[in-house]
Amino acid sequence: MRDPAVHGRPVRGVLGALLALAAAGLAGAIASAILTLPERPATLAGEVIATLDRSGVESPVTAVLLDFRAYDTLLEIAVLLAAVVAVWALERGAPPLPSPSEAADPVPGALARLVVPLAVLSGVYLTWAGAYRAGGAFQAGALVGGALVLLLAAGILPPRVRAVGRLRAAVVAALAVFIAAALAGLFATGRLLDYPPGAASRWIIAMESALALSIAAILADLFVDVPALAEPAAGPEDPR
Amino acid sequence: MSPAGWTLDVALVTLILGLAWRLLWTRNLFEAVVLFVAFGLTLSLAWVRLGATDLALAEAAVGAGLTGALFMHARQRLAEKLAERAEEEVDG
Repeated sequence: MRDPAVHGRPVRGVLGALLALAAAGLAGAIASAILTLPERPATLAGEVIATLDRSGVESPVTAVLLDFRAYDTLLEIAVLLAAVVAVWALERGAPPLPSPSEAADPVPGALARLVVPLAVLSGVYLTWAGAYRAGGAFQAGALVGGALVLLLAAGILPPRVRAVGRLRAAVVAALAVFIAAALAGLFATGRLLDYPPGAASRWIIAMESALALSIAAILADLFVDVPALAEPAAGPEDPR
Repeated sequence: MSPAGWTLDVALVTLILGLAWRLLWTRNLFEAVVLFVAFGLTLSLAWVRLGATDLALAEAAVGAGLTGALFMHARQRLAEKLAERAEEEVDG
């Protein structure tokens, strides 16, 4: 069966040849870069392992993301927030898609009712597990974000709920918690994003939880078709 | 490396390349999205084989799950746009 949304016309002729040449050149450059990698790449893994017991967590990946290089993670979540604000701006004035009805297609709804509780449970576990093994806020957030998308696709989340309010509070939660932690750390230890000794693991778990929540909300928000910023006249639920 | 591990790796690489090739050449966008999700899951297995469990988790959740859903969403929008345009042409 041919898809209704078929590809555009294929690129041919001089432009096609140029594109093929450029793609081949890029592939060659990547291949040569990989082949000329040093035998023993410069790595900080040894130092991370050596100082792991000072980070408050047992997983080296989480120690780097939330402690040694927490500043990078702070900027990352700020970038994600900026991206989703741009999406809100683009969606403004776009006509909303008709909400899918469950009566028309019961399969997504049935699937969502099975999968979403499991996904949320796994998300909580992954956030917690990030402290001592593979896992962490980004994976957990993506998982819960996927669950939210399933709810939206099945038409279980009504448009009114998904439009404003709590979703946007969740979107900014991580950045708020991160900045609060950075400033609290500044007052407590004199250094930005440094945690008071002994309390590091509790701080990291709190920040991981906020990160997971925000990432889930941000990813789900990319799928929300209705303008995320409700018109002021739309109702008493004023955007905060 | 054990023969079993070697066989698994070769099978994974073949599967990844085969899926990539098919998804680039199919003319059916729905099929392409499904192949992309399968590609993401296979790639996350490859990350597990390379010992990067964190990456494997992220790849499965973002690469296979969310991006697949986003593509499916975009395809649906595209189909609606095309149907709209066809209707306009009939009317005008």
